[in-house]
Amino acid sequence: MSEKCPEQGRSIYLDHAATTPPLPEVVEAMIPYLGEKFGNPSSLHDLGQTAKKAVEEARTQVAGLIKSTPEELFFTSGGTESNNFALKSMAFAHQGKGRHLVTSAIEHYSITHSAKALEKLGFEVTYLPVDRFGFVDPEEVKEALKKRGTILVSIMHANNEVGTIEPIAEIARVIKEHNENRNSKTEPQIYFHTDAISTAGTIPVDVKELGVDLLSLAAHQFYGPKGVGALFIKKGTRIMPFLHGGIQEEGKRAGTENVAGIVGLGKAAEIVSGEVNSWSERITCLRDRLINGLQGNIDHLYLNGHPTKRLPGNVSMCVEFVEGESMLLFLSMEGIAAASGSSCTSHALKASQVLLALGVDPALAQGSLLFSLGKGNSREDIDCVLDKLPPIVSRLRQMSPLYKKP
Amino acid sequence: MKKDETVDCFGLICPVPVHLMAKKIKQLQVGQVLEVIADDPDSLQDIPSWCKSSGHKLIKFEQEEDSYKFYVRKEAE
Repeated sequence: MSEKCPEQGRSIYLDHAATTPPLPEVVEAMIPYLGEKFGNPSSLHDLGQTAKKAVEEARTQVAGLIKSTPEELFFTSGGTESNNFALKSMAFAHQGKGRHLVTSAIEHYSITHSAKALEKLGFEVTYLPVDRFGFVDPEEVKEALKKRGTILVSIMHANNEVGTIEPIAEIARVIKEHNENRNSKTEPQIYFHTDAISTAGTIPVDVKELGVDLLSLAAHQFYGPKGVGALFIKKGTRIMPFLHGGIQEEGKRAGTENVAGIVGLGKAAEIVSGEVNSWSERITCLRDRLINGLQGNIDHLYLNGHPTKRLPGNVSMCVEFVEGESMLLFLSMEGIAAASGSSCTSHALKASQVLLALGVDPALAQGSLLFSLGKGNSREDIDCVLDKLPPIVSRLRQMSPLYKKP
Repeated sequence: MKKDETVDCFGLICPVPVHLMAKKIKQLQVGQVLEVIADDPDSLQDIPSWCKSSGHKLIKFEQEEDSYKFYVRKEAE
């Protein structure tokens, strides 16, 4: 074993796109709310009020992360729920004015499947194509807007698989221009949602700078717990409740709060708010070291997405003449945890829809490999991958009848 | 109609709108006006009767295309 690589038993975690390790401070903050501080925030006695105070403090902490007001944040069970909430509840609230939605071909399944479910209910959806880097063109958004029908546009802030950061502020300007020039008596206002699950806590996210009406985020993507997230809904935005029941979350998302989870989300938001710039700078350096090292040592290797306008920790690539899953197994034997495409598609033996939307050849897409770096990674981790992956690829290619050494 | 705060209860089922407006009105000053938007037909009964029992004044009601608007003035703490 090389000196650069971890000792037996220790592993190198390069799958932060799937989930991130919760910070010790986050876990510590949550524990009392799983135990002695078990009160229901709706209860009027002290135990209840202690829990309520914790929930409201977390709301303020999350507001600090995305520069919203606390009142504009609604806690959910995570990113998938936030995305379902945004699409379905906006569609249901505004269907009297229009039944057309615009989204992109590379959204997460929680958006595309919600959109497809809405299509079955009679809504019309435009799925905008992307270019070879994965960018949505604001001009194409403009062309897709219908004067008498479009009610919502939903474009992700960054793609979780290929890392491309979309021009959200520019798309917001296009929508704003449309709204300002419309006849407000006959044409519905168009709202703009962004799925910021891959970006909130990873790169700076400011709802005002982005110009969005709705924004989804999830705690476990920025060193918080799983099973909790939030949807930002700009003040004054009409939306249907997503879960009916009690008055929690202003009645828009009823159900007794996941207090410990919310406390963890708040704590993670507070910590990353102060660290996001310094972490992302360091992670970007490691990312580029990995990309350059692999490109220099493996032929027929192609980077997915854009070289610079990508998430700090995202190294998505396709290795020709090998299968992503085989590389993962060999890497796993070396103690390196990575992914092939998104974790949501890795169980389906299909080429990633995102890669296909970027125009990647379906055969090449079989060799997709995703390293996603986080704050705990070191230069040694990257050098270990640079040491281990090239021989794995050579070995696998020796078995491939299609590969001829250049 | 002049209003100081709004509670948008669109899509909410009674008695949730009444609970939310009761919570919100606590944050207002006496004399300020709360706008309540609701679309549950039961709110036509529940909101006026809550105003009567709580002592706040329903000063205006509007029927919109897809919802109702109630304007309630806070009368006392």
